[in-house]
Amino acid sequence: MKYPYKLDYLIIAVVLAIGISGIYTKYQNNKSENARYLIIQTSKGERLEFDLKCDTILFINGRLGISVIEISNNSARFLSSPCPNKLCVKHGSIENCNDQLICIPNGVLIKFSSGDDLDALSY
Amino acid sequence: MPSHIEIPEKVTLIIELSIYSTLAIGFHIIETIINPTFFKIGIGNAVILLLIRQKKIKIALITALLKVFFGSLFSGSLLTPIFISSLFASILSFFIMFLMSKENVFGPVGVSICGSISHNFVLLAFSNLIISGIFSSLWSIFILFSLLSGSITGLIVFLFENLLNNLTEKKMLIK
Repeated sequence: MKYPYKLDYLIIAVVLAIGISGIYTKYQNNKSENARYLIIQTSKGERLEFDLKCDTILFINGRLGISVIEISNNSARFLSSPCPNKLCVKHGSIENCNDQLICIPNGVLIKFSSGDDLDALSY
Repeated sequence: MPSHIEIPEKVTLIIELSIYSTLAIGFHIIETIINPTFFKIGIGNAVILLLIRQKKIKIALITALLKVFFGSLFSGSLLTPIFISSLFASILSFFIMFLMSKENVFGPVGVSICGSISHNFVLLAFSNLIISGIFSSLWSIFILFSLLSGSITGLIVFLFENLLNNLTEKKMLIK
């Protein structure tokens, strides 16, 4: 059985090219930078920064309860979380610059930064 | 005894609507039970795409809205931000699929991929309101996942359309 719609192949090719180039660009950006800080953001609007040189365990208050985050050997991970599926815990640790891990139910985001981020933009 | 009973148009509409919406909601709920994560293939959307391609636009739109409503009711997220984002995502993807299916230029796979991308991008945009920066980090992964899920849904519709055409041809030959 042949698939007769030729324009669909074009859509597949374009979408595939956009997706792969997006991932490649992101990967290249992450590789070229060295992560120095761990940024934690919560749905309440709190933003915390931690130095990656200090190994520590953090207790962050989210929407559902307390998420426990571990920083060790320049990597970070969710040790425990009150979310129902524990996808953030199952993901494991993040290591590269601009990598991020998000617990959507508890509203907690952890992200590596090189410290070169802009404070604000004005137009 | 009359050999032919005429069914009013409204009754036919209600019967069709109940059959198709049950199928779409059923597939959606089964998929949610099997795979509770954010990344879903969206088999329920195959029913909606099939209806759009058969030019049953009214039934397709109501089925899409019912799928969101009952899907959220079943997962316990009714009237939450997840429900509102799903509603907007479903409406936008419906109109994109409808516009692409108007002329018979694109096939079910292409239409389904574009519908899936628009659906996932609306969800991602809503997530970005809660956690800033999520859109820029995840759009490329979402676009590739939309390609996969849209292709699967589109192929299901294509195979089902062929099956229906074969059945109709056989029926006409018997007559």
